[in-house]
Amino acid sequence: MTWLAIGIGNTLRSDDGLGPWLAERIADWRLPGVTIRVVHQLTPELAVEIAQHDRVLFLDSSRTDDEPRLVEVEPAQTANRLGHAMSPGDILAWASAFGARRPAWAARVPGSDYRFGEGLSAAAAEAGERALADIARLLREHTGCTKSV
Amino acid sequence: MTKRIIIDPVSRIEGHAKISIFLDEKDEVLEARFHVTEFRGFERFCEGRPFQEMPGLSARICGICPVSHILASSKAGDMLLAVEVPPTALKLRRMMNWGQILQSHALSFFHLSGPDFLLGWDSAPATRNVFGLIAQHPDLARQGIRLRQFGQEIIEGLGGRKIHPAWSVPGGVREPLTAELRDRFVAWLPESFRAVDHALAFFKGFLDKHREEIETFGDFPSLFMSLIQPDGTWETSDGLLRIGDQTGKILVDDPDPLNYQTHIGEAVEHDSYLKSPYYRPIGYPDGVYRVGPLARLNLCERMGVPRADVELVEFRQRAGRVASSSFHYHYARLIEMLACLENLERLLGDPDLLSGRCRADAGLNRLEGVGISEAPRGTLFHHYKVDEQGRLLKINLIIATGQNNLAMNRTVTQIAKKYLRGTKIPEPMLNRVEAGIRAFDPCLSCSTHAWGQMPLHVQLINAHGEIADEVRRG
Repeated sequence: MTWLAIGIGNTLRSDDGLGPWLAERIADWRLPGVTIRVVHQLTPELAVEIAQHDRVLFLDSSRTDDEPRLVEVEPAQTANRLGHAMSPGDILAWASAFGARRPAWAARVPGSDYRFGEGLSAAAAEAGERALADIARLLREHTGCTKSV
Repeated sequence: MTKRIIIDPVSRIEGHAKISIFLDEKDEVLEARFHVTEFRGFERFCEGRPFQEMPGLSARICGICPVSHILASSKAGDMLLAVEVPPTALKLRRMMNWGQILQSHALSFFHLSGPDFLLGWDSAPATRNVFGLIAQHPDLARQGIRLRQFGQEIIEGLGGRKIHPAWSVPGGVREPLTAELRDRFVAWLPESFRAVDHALAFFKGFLDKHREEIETFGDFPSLFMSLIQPDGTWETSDGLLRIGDQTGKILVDDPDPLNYQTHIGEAVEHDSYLKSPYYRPIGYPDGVYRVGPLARLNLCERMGVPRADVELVEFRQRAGRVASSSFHYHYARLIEMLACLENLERLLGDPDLLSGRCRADAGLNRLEGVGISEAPRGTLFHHYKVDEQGRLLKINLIIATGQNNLAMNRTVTQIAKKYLRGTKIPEPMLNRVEAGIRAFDPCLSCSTHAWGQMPLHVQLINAHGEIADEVRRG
């Protein structure tokens, strides 16, 4: 079972860097079969890489959630095509062009400070730690890996 | 160490595209305006930094076209150093820019605008989506993704990363190409040519059936601006700045980048963070000019590579010597992708690319520098003034999307006049307004990321300043 974990965000916009921060922490676990990607934003060619893995995990900051959430993601039925931003659902939809309909999850971790700056706010770091516990459980369930994380 | 830079206002960092359509006393369309309510601030918060940092800093402006900023910034740095950039570095910078144009145009054509072409503006919402597109045209969908992937591979291969590669620097580039990378790029080419050939054949068939959209999506006379080689060949990285009019008359052919403000003024509107550049001799707001693929094709004499030159001839047979409809931006993008591939094919055979002599070292020799490069969506200016220590005193960036701002306003106005009747926003008009803006492929909100997407907000405002109708989408 292979996983692609994608950390999304801009590390120069404070809590927007939650996705890359989570990705780095997961990379430190060195789990077999788990590939880590860090991206500024989602782009269509990730669909090719998604199609090469069995499971997908999106890691991102959230401005709308109060608590860290780990939710299943379905391919999007519609897409906003005015801007360049793509959602996890958009990417999953594009991945289906390669015959891939992969089970996918998104870890959405609340951020509060999106001003210019490096590093997470204390609240975001604390929420990130809680999200990591949920992510570790998810990966253990699906990979069967018993390695302590 | 944690660093924080406070910039006010900070409450509007998400990108929003807002369109206001103003009606007269008879509820007929008076004009439309496209606003961007996103604050950037790069021109101010980079003040005080060493100019050598600017390629890396300004790359953060955008996650889609960072290479454009890196290249324009490096060129401004070249001028401050007053060095002659080694030929290998010039070639490699060009190569990265072609990769950048490929990936950006592929995103615009196949993914953002593809559903319009392939499924139709008025097709059922239930099928006007990615799945409908993949179901009806799976090959094009896959080819588009792979083509974009090739462009990204070039950027990552040369720069070490896909986004924000800190590779091009004042004086040249950090690393040359390796033989292994060259061979990898060469292996990608046949598949990429097939993708562009397929898209061109499809699009030409589509064009003949959509005369109405061609005549409605921003079809008006204007000026055009782009870089161009001195002999008139299509250019994306160097050369001179050319401005021409709708009749094909050349108004400006200026080899000195420091003169750009002689030709271009920048207007600021109270309701948008997007500046409105204009052609200074005509003034604001009538000095409308367009930049980007359409401008580059309108201003050049030839593409400089055989297959794209054949396509340029056909383009002009279909659209005129100077194409006036903004709808033809899409067609121009396809021809530019073909030209990028042909140029890559040609350049990849050059042994000079592997040379280690790819960066000129020097200290500060000038206090003012301007770098001009062609971003996928148009001409990009980076203008720096520095002190004796090379610290930035003043920065001016003129972004391609801003330069198309006035043209986008006219485009939306034209579409609204055609499709709006009364004081309700009809679905067909909304679809076409979106598509009309997409023709320019504006880059609005790439400097920040947050969960969610950029919504479109359209307001219809009557002669009394009241909101008659409004729609949010996205």
